[in-house]
Amino acid sequence: MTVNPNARKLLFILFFNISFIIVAAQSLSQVLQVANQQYNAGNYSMALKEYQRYLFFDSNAAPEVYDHIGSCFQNLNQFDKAAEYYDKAFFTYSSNELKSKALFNKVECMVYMRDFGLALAEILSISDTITGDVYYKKEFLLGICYFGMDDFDNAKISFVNCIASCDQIKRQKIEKIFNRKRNFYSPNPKTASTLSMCFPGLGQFYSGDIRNGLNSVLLTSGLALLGVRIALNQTVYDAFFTVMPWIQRYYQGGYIRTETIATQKRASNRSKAYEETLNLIAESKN
Amino acid sequence: MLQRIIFTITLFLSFNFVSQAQSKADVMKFRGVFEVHNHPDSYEYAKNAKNEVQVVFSGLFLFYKYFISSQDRASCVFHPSCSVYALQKIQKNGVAEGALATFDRFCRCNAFSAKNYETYQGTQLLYDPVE
Repeated sequence: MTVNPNARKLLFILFFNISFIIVAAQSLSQVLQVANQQYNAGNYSMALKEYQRYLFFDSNAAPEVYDHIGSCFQNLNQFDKAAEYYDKAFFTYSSNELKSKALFNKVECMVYMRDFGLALAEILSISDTITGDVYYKKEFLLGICYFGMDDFDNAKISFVNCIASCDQIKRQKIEKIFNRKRNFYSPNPKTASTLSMCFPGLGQFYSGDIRNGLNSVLLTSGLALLGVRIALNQTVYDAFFTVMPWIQRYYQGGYIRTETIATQKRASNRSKAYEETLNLIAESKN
Repeated sequence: MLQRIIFTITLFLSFNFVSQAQSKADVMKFRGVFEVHNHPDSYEYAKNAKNEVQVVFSGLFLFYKYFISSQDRASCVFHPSCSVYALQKIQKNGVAEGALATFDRFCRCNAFSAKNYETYQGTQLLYDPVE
């Protein structure tokens, strides 16, 4: 039987193309398999490379791929990229259960990035009708977002709601933490700065920084004494022009730095209150 | 209508009975989100003096940093600051050359120097390290 040479050529090209597609498809599934293996083994940077290679050839990947890429980025502390991929997973998943999981992961990344406003907007998009564990998770993340935005009244409500209503003792303890105003508003940086303007060192003492307070008092009063001495031994003008620029420098430096000291101290008090709240919530969980 | 009700109930249940139970670990991974990262410079480089001259200058440097500079407003335009530059220069090139370089640095430490230096990203000050 003789075969037309053109038909043979055509058959060969067809066979070559089909075999190439099959080989390519196999290698793509192998890439995904390797990526999943690396992911399950906790080698996130390796898994990420493989997943990205897979995405290069298959742009319409399954939502799990996006989810795993998000998780890899999250474990590598690249939260902005992790949020981006969780977002893709959210829009690709069809089940509500997985959608909500992807959304919570995205919000977690935003919290780590300290983008509390955006995280709050995302978390508020979850339905109010939810109950059970999803509800507790939502309230917990809401509490963190409100806390980060200095909205402590709403943070209190959300953190209290994280704990089951049968555990009244822990709920009351959280309320007590939030009702103690000095945990959140003390020391006031403006008050500290004003106190240091009235008398050098006073703002530092008010903020609980004794060393810097004593330092400020000694430095400015030492310079003032030097000024008095020069004024007595020579003239008032001499004292004014030699010592005044130094006094002004350290007096001004004192009240500017006091504001920073008070701000840090207040942030530290808030952080302590947050950690206490977190411990109480953790104790209520299994 | 019935189909709609069944769909709503299914949606509601799928949101409520998912396996997303919040564990202790889930809560505790948010530890430290509001932690204050305040680590004042401990000036370790000034505490390993190798000879008597370095001991004297390191001592003067530490006294200045802890008791005088700590009360000052931000006035130096450079990174590293003039006092750090002086100490590093003395440690590297000795007292005579270090003193001259420091004097030169003091003369350049003013608002008119901005155009001659790049900005240091961390502090947004003019970058002039010890070469």
